[in-house]
Amino acid sequence: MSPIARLRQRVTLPLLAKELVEMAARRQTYVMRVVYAALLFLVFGAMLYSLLDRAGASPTSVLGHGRELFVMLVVLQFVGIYLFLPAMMCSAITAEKERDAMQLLLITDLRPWEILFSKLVGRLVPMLTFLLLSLPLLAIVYAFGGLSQGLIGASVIALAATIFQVGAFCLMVSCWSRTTVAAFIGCYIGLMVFYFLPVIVMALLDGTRTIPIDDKIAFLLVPFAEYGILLDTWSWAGASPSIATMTLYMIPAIVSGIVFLIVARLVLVRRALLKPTSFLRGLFKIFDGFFNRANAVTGGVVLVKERAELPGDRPVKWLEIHQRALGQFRYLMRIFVLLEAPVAIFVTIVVYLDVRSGSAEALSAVYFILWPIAALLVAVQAAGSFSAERRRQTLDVLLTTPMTGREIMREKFSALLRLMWVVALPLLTVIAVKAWWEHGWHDRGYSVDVGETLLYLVGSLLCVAIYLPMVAWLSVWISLVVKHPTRAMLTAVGTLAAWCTTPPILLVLIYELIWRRGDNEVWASLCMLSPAVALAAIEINELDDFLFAPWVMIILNFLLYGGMTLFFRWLCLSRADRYLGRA
Amino acid sequence: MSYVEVDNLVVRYGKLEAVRGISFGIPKGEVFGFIGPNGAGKSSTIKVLATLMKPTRGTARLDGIDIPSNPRLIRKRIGYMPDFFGVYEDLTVNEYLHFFAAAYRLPAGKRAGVVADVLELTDLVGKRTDQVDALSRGMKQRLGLARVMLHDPDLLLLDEPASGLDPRARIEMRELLKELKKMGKTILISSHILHELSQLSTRIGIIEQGQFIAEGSLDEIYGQLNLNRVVHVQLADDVDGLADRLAAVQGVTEIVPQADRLAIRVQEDELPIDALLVRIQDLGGRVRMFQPEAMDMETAFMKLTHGKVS
Repeated sequence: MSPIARLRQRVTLPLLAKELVEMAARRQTYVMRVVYAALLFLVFGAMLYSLLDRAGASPTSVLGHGRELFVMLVVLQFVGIYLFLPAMMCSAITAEKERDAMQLLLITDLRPWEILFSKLVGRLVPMLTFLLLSLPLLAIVYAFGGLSQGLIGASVIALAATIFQVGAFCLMVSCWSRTTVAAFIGCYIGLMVFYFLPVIVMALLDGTRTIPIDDKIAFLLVPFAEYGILLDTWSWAGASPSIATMTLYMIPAIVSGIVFLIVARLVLVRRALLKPTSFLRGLFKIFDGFFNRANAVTGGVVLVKERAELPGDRPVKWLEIHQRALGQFRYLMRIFVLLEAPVAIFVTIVVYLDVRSGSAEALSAVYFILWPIAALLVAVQAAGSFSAERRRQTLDVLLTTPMTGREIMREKFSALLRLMWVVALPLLTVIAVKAWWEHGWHDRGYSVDVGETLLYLVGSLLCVAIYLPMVAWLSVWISLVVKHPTRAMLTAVGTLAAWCTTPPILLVLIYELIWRRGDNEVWASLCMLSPAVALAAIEINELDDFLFAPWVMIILNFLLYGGMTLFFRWLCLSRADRYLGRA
Repeated sequence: MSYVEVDNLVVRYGKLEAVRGISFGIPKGEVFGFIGPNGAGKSSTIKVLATLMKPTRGTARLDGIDIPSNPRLIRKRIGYMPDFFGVYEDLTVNEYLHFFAAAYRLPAGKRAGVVADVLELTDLVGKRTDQVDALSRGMKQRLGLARVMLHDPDLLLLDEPASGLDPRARIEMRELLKELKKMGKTILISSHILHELSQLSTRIGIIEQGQFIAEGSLDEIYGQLNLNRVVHVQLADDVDGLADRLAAVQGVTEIVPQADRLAIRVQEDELPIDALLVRIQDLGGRVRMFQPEAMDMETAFMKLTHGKVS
């Protein structure tokens, strides 16, 4: 075969073609695109409305504001890339591993670099189509004037560098990970660490006066920040944006992307045939090693000896406790120790040192860190309830037993209660200490508002008592509806994240950009549509900002979320057989 | 009256009609073999009988009880083994069986005895403490059968129990099923291993595109197929015009000349096989080889089905 023919055969890139066809056939791609477009157009619409509203009676006053709108649009695109691209890219290689197709790819004529290239481009193309959704908006922006070709070109360069860097990073994580869940978590957490670690290190060095911090260097690997810094610099200097300068600033990001690809190439084959294992089990294995070593030091303390007992009259509950990583007592105990020990140490230090200023904030910070962990653990465990049965193909067998769907569901849920207690205890510790410390049960030498303390205690305890079961029932419901285990977990976590963040963001946007009328407290109260808002408001004692008296707000909030919990529970129990696929 | 009665059963998945009005009956204690290509509607029919799916139309009864309207009652009387393992791999064999014994609401005091019995029956006593994960495919299938027997059901619904097994495991499975047949269980078994079904089943239903294309005892099905049978004939010497003259004989539907023989298709009810031999000799043919095509289950299946799915 001639070299040209060989080259032509090679550039057919069958894997890329397959990726594109697969992505195009996936309903998820269209759903994400619609969500992306809806958010983009909604926010842009709000910005435009705000601009026109400010113009008032003189429409010509908005002329020249195109630059302002354009930069906002680019910022939105950056946010879109950081939010959507990891989710799209994380399964690039892990999906192949999970369906045992990786080994089949490796024994074909495809070279590892070709696999990586196809996977990268195959996922970046849909992302680029997302970005192209803003073209009609750009046309509108252009009509306002004030835009230069340099700014457009520089922005395109920055966005392209970001897509490449984020895509390459996520591909590397996907090559490394065994499962899509691990890759998903790894992509977001890893990206945060990658971006912020140099900044934190530099801030520390700056604090110790070793090296003075320079924003441009600290954010060297963060194209989004570099873009902002450069725009500011141009703006202050009155210089026109330059494509060449932006390209220069994006070189570190591009180089880091290339490094990620090289690492991906190095681990692609080595980790291609690793058996997918539970992410949590892997984590527990590490903890196990640590605790076993610690036990050797402490002389082999065994709190509860697990007996090899057989199922009693609640076989599904027994199975959940016996078989699932987060069901077994020793793992639950270890999670409890891992969560409770730092909390206990931290609050003891706060109380012992009697740090007046900042102690409440420190306790609240611990509280705000604990809540997402608690919700994540409960959601992941609950979302795996039924989808794991489907994956193991045990559901049909279970469904032909005389157990009713409701019975199966109740037993599954009762096994979850153990985990809920474990994650609730550290939260309760913080609540109790804060009530005692901040609200004056401890001798502080100043007057104590018992009502306020009671408000805090009741509100916070209700949060724990209602939110955790709500998260669990919602995730169980998702587990019933979404058949694939990984997708069920991601959907549960994504739904919770969206539920907590979307209402306040949307309401604030609407209020700030469009409405700017009416009572501020009404809008604040509407933010209670996010469960996180009430939780935060109670913790930082900001319940006065809402429409009704604090007690009324607490009652309303918990009627709403208590109702939601009951609704999800009813949904799961009353339609159990139907969801489970029984006649 | 049949123990299992299925009448005009229709199962639809959206626009796809997987089962299109099939009817059959299984008398108590008999083994009904369900044969068909992949996607023919076998598993859907079995799922209706296993209470996992409601029929779109038609009826399914077990011992006179309507299955879709009495699922809880029916579940106590059936044992269902799907076409996949469906085992909790982190449990031991003993724990797995105890789990299902509890799920079938067997009294706690009786469970150990019942588990010991089914382990004995399926020859898994030595594997009692092994992890399910560590069992071979054949053993997992036997474990599945042990599970099915825990509550001593009257009707066993076995969806391709021998699928994916090696020859030894297949023979072991067949022997086990024969044992269950001897115990008087009514069994509905689907399989692609047609040869095995012919050894076990008292009645056979061949399904394609959601419809029965043949149903009855083995002899009845063979009889249906024998109506149009191929006979391979090799002649010692060429006789001019013999093929044409044979084609004109009543009962001969087609003659296909092959390299060293003639493949003659005959309708047996009009022209019995031995009469064909006589006619060939009458027409001057000296027969070197006369071989009617064997009618085993594979042939029957291949003849009746075209590999179409719903």
